[in-house]
Amino acid sequence: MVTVAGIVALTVVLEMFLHQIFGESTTDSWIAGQLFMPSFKYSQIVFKGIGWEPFSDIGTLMGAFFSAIFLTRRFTAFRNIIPPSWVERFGDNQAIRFLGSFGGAYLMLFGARMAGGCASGHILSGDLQMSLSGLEFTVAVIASMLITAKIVYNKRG
Amino acid sequence: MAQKVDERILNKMDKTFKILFIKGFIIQIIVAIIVTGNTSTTPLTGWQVASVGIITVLLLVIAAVIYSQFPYSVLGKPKE
Repeated sequence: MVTVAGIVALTVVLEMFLHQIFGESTTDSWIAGQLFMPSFKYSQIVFKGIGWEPFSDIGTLMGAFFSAIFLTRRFTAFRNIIPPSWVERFGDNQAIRFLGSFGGAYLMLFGARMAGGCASGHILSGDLQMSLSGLEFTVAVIASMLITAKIVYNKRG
Repeated sequence: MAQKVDERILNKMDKTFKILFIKGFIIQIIVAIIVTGNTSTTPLTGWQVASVGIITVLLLVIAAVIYSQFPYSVLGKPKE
């Protein structure tokens, strides 16, 4: 865990020195713009401002992939597997699981784009630069995370 | 399907993919260096990202084919 945190911190600091930000969610706007809306005004802004974010996303995917193959050995080969914590709370209905995961991801991405960046951009990059908006975002994310987990998983105690 | 495949073959496939993964990752870094060149402050283009990302996609497809042969749930440790 400490090693992972160290690698992430080093990556963020390195990207700052190389005049890049450690962001992830901008890639989604960039991909949507490239594929479906190349002449859209917002897409043009994203195209001009994009840095290494798409490579950050590929790297994150490769990191998770590496972990699933070499460390945890839990690569599921795209089988339909529902996490036990979800089954315990909502049952094993695949449609409900799909709605929950897709809807949750949609809300998260929508919020990230409204805020002009996600946790990696605002929390990792923003906090390292001692940005007040980054610190404010961090507090809001942690509070929202705790409240959402409490509501969704209904844990007491 | 998983029961039909010999354990030795599974281990061999597992080892082969791990080697493939490492090689693929190294190639990915080399491709990224070549396609971006000395342009750290220039916005990335679609083909630059696609040429690097396609390697991850290919690795995922190969891994899905290989590891779907393995027992369900936890690789190497079949679910009881």
